[in-house]
Amino acid sequence: MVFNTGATLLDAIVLAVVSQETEGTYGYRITQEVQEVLGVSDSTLYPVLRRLQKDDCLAVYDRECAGRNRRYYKLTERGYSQLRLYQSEWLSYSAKISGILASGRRKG
Amino acid sequence: MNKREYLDCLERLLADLPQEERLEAIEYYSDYLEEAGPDGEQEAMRKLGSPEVVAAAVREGLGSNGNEGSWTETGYERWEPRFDAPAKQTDSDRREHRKLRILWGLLAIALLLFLKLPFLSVLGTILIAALIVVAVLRRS
Repeated sequence: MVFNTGATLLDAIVLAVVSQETEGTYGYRITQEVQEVLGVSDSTLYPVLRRLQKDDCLAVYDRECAGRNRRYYKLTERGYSQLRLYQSEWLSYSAKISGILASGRRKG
Repeated sequence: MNKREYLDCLERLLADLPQEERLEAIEYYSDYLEEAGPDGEQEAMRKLGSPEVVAAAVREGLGSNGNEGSWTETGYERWEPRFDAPAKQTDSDRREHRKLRILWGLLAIALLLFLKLPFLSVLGTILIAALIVVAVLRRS
């Protein structure tokens, strides 16, 4: 089933995924991991990564891998704070949604 | 379409963007397609969508903060309310507050006039009233 995902939630998810690797991770892997949770298309992630980079939540560095270059993303200090903020905001928001949905009655 | 053609097409579609943005985007998708390996290339291009779709996604990310739409399994759709920001004080809220303050100011003046305090001349009362009005308007 599809619930639409807003930009903010997508940012939060991407930050959470990238934060799991202390060394950071690269675009292709990030896309695969996010897709395990959300049914977003492959082209969705680049604009999000780019925006997080410009907002100084993610830093990039290049790593040589099997003779070619691979661009890694990792969280900055600001990225970690932002992630913490999203985590607490999500807890309260999702609790409210769960509460209201749970209160929905059956027909009858 | 092979990888080279795909990326060239994408580059052309992004020609009007600032060079840095264009280069970043091309580098990303070039790496992405390489990651899929020579065997996975066609499938990866299929999953990304056409160069037009990818170019639109790049633009969408740059144009706004991405907060004018949302992502579904079928692609990007315009507009969904954000969950994070609490409602800010709106202009109409501010106007209401202002009106309230003016009302209080006028009440204070009316009280002063009513009391007709002996040591205050009429002019004195008017002066104080004027000061109250100015103070109230400055604060709102």
